[in-house]
Amino acid sequence: MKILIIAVMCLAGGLALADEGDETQTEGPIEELQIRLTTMEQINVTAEKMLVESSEDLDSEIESILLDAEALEVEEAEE
Amino acid sequence: MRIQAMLRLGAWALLLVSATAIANYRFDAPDDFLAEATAWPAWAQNLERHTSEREAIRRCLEEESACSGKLKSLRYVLVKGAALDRDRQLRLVNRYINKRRYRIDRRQTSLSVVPGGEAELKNHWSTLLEFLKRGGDCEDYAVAKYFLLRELGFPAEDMRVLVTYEKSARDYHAVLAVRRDDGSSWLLESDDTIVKGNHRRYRFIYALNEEGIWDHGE
Repeated sequence: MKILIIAVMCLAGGLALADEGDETQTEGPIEELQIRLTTMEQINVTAEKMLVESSEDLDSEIESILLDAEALEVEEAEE
Repeated sequence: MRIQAMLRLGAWALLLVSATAIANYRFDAPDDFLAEATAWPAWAQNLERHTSEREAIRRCLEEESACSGKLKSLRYVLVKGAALDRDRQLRLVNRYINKRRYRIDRRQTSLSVVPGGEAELKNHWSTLLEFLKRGGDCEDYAVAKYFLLRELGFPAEDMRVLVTYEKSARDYHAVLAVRRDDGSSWLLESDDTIVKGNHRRYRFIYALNEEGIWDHGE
């Protein structure tokens, strides 16, 4: 009986809180979206990381492509 | 006793695997979809600028003499990269982009006053060619990898520029999330690593690609 009373009181309290939340919600979905996008846009994303030695085996073909690409850029810069 | 110990060990192993799986980035979280990509003007403008640049990239690919500046090395990477398998394409692109100069883009956020007197915070994103020319910060690295992998044929639906909060660095950081054929997600980091199995050091904030924007909850 005691448990039943406590459960009913919790349910009543939860319903009261839910009603209160509904009364304070006045913004439509578009405004909510704009607010959320503005919040996301204000996050300053600038963390810098140093290059680390990869634990994967070095791939000679990838290394070769990267070196050749770099050489092309150096060549371009010198022209 | 031995059976009980083994069962206990098995239960812990299962819990650890589950926790790791839950912590990994998931592309299949439909409740996180926030809006179409066009809802974010700065991102939509970047996509438009990149669309214009694709014409220059296409001309360069068709005719080498049409390549100028950074397009020459980009063309080389695209031609050679096309012959690699998907795993190695990811590693190539990750390393090629990460060689660029890190630079905090002071234009990244700027306050501008629009007609009517309201101040508006504007975010700036770089296209692939803009980034190759002048470098950028971690967001720009992730966006450049996205565009370059698109040129190599990776579908938009399998990639997202993912903004995270990295717990160890206590800072916001962007990576490129790529969905693999087995459904797992790889995160292409700006330090040359590719984080495959365990994403627990990240708290996912939001993600975007040319199809949409996802809100992961902060």
